[in-house]
Amino acid sequence: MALEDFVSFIVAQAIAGLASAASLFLIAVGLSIVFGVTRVVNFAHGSLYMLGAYIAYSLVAVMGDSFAGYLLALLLAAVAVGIIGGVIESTLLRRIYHAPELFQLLATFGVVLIVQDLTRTIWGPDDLFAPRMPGLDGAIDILGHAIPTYDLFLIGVAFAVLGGLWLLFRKTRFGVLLRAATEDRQMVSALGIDQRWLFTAAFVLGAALAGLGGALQMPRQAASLSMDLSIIVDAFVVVVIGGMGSIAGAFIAAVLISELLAFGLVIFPQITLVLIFLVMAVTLVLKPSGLFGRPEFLTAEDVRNPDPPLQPSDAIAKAGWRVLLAWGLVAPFVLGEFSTVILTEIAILALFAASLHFLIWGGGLITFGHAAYFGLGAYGAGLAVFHLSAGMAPALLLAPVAGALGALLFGWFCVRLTGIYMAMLTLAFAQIAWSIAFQWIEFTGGDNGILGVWPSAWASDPTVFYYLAFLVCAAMIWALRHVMFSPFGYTLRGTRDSALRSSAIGVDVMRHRWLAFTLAGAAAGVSGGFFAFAKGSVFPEVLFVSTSVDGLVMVLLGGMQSMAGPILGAIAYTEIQTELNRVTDLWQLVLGVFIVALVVVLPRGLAGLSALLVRRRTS
Amino acid sequence: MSVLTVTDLAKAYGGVRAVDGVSFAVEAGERVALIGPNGAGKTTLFNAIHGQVQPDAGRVMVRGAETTGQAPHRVWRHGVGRTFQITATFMSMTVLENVQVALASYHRSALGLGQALRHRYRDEALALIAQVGLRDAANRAVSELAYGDLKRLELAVALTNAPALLLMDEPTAGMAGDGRGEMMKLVDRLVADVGVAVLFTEHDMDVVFGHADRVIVLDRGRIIASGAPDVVRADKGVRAVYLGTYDDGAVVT
Ligand SMILES: Nc1ncnc2c1ncn2[C@@H]1O[C@H](COP(=O)(O)OP(=O)(O)OP(=O)(O)O)[C@@H](O)[C@H]1O
Ligand SMILES: [Mg+2]
Repeated sequence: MALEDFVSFIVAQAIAGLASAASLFLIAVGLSIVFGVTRVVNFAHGSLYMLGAYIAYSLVAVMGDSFAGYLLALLLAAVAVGIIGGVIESTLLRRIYHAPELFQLLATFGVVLIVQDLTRTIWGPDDLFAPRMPGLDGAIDILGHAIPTYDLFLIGVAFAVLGGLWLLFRKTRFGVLLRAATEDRQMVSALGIDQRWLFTAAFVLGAALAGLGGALQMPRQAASLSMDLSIIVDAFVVVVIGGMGSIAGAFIAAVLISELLAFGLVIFPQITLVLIFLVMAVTLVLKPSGLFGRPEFLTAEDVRNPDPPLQPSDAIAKAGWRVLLAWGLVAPFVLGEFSTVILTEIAILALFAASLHFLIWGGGLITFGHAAYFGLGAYGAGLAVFHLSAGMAPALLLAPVAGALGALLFGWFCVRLTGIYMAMLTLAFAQIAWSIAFQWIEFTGGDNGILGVWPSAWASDPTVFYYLAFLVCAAMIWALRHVMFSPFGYTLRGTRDSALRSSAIGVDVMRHRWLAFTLAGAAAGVSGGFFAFAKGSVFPEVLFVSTSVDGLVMVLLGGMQSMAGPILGAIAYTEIQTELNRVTDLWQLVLGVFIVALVVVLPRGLAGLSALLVRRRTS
Repeated sequence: MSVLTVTDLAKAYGGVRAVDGVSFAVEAGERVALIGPNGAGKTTLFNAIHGQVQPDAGRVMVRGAETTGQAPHRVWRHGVGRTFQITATFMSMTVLENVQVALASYHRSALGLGQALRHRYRDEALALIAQVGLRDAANRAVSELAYGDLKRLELAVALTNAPALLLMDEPTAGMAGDGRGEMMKLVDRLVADVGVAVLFTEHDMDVVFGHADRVIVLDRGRIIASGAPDVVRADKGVRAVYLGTYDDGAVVT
C-alpha cells in the first residue's frame, strides 16, 4: 500500500469511527447526566434510545420526504422520548431514589423488559429500515475515499450537542443547578430548589438525548429489538472509562471506544472486544473512578439499614431446612416423573441464586453480571464434551474451574470498584464473555450453540440425573451457607459493613473480596455445568444479561436477608415463569411489571411479605 | 527505639496543605495529645501515618520499621491500632463478633473456612470486651449501641493485635462528661498496664491537660508548639490560635 493510500485509509476509518461515536456520546452523556443528578444508573436508557429509533422510523414515513421534514422527524422523536422519559421518572424512578443501587438497576431493567414487549407489539418483531435522509444520502470524496455525507452530519450534530451542553451547564441557571446537584447534594437543598422538579428535568434531558441518539441512527442502521441492550452495555463501558457524571469524559471515552472499534475491526477483528476490555481494565486500574470521574462516587459506605446479626439456625429453621431437603428427595415420586425436568432446573437455579446471594448479601458485592460464571461453567462443560469428547464427570469437574478462572480474571478488576461502578463493570464483563461466545463461531458454535451435551449412560435417566443435580447443588448451597458463618465469611461481611474498619484490623479488603468473587464464580460454574447437561446443549444466552437478572430476581423474590431466600426464590420464579409461558406471549412485559412491582412494593422479598402483613395487622 | 517516628510528613489536597512538614516521635508508654483548631490537619496526619492516605513526602517508622505509604492492613501488622473520629464498626454484627473478626485477622485465620467464627476466640474476645466495660453488651447488635459504647467497642477492636501504638481520633467526642472521664481512665490504665503508646486528638481541654504526658499543637498543617501540658498551656502563640477561647473548663470546638 502506498503511503497516500494508507493516509486516506486512516482518515476514512477515523471519520467512520467519529460518526459512530456521535450516537454513543449522546447515549452516554444522557446516562451520565441522569446519574450525576439522581444517582440512579438507568438501565432503561438504552430502551429510550431504541424508542427514539422506532418513533423516528414512523415519523420519517409520514414527513421524511424533504430534508427539513426528515430533520423535524428526528427532532420530534427526541422530544417524544423526552416526554416518555418524564413519565417514567415521575411514575417509577421517583419512588426508588432512596432504594439500594441494586434495586434501582433491577427496577429500571424491568422497564427494559416492558419497553421490549411494547415495542414488539407496536412495531412488530422485524428489523425496520428507514429511507436515507434527503440531501444527505450521497458521499463526498476525501483523499480518494467516499465518505457518506450523513456521517459528517452526525459528527457535526455531536459537536453541536457537546457545545450546547457546555453552554447549558455554564451559562444557564438550570445548568448551574444541574452541576450543583452533581457536585454537592446538600447545596441544592440549601438553595431551596424543588429537587423533584430538577430530577425530572434532568431525566427528560437525558431521555431526549438518548432518543435523539436513536433517531439519528435510523438512516445508518435498521431499528431492531436488540438495540437497547447492545447500546446500554457500550454506554456503560463509556461512562466507566470516562467517569460517571462527566460530560467531557463521556465525549472522550465515546470517541476512544468508537475509534478503537473502527480500527480494530479492520486490523484485528477477532480481538476488538479484547482490546476494549484492555482499555477499560487499564483505565480502571490507573484511575478507578474513570478518566474524569469523582472518586467520592466510589466510596459510599452504606450504613443506612444495617442487617441484623447472623443467627445460627434455631429449631424452627432447622426443621424448615429438613423439610426442604426431604421434599427434594421425595418430590419426583410425589409429583410424578414428568416433574423431574422442572425440579432439576430448580435445584440448579437455586445454587446459581445462592452463589449470587453469597456475593451480594454476604459481601456487599453488587454484581449485575453473574451470568458470566454460570455461562462459563456451562461452556466449560459443553466445550469439554464437544472438543475433548469428555465424559460427564470430568466435564462437570471442569465447570467450576471455568467459572472460578473467569471470576479470578474479571474479579480482579471488579473488586477494585464498589457500588454502581462495580455493577456496571461486572455487567460489561459478562456481556463481553457473551459476545465472545457469540462471535467465536469456530470454537463455541456461535448462535447455533453446542449440541449433544448429554449425561453419561448411568445418569441418563431423568430421575437419576435429578438426584445427582439435587444432591450436588444442595451440598454446595450448604457449603456456601457454612462459609458465611466461617471466619472467611464474617470477615467478608465485615468488608461489606465497613471497608475502613476491615483494613484497620489487618484485612486486605480487595484480596478478600477477590477470593469471595472467585468462590462464588466456582459455585455458579457448578450450576452452569449441570445446566448444560440438563438441557443437553449450551447457547450464548447462558451468558446474557437476562440470565444475570433471572438470578437477581430470584434472590430478591426470596428475600435478601434470609439464607433460604435464594432457594425459595428459585422455586417461585421457575414456577411463575413456567406458568406465564403457558398463558401469554408477552411474558417479558409481565415479568417487567412484576420486577418493578417487586422493587417498589416488596423490596424485602417474599420473606418481607410476611413481616409486612404482620405489621399491617398490628397497626 | 521510639514506637513512632514521623519525619517531615506532608500531604496536600489541591492547594490545601493539610499536613505540612511534620516531625515528631512517640515513646513507649507515652500519651501524646495532638491538638489544634478544626481543619488543622489532625485527621489527615493520622491517615498518613496509618496508610489511609498516601503522604506526598516524609517518612513514617513504627518500632524502627519503615511503614511510609503502606496500606492500613500492613501498618496494622506492625502493631498499630486505630479508632476513628466517626466510629467505624461492623454494624450488622454483635459486639462479640466485631472483636472475634478482628481476632481472626490477628491470628491469621481470616481466610479460614472451617469452624464457625462464633466458636472461636470467644474467651479472648470476652476478656477484651470486659476490659472496655462492655461485658453486658457482648451479645447485642452493634446497631443498637449508644455512641459512647461504639467508641468503647472500637477501642476493644483496636486492642486485638496487642498494639504498641494506639491512634485515637477524638476518643471522647460525642460522649457525656462522665463517659469522657471513664474512657480516658481506661486509656490511662492500658498505658500503665501494658505500656502501649497512645497518640490522640481531642478538643476537650480538660481531657487533654488531665491525661496527656505531652501535647503537640498543630495549626494549618504545621506544628506550632509541643511539650509538657503546662508549658504548652502557657505558650502565647498557642493561646492566640487555639486556646484563646479556652477558659478553664470550657470546651473548644
Ligand atoms: N479528602 C479530602 N479532600 C480534600 N480536602 C481535605 C480532605 N481531607 C481533609 N481535607 C482538608 O484538609 C484540611 C485538614 O483536615 P483534617 O480533617 O485533617 O483536619 P482536623 O484537624 O482533623 O479537623 P477536625 O478537628 O475538624 O477533625 C482541611 O482543610 C480539610 O478541608
Ligand atoms: Mg479530624
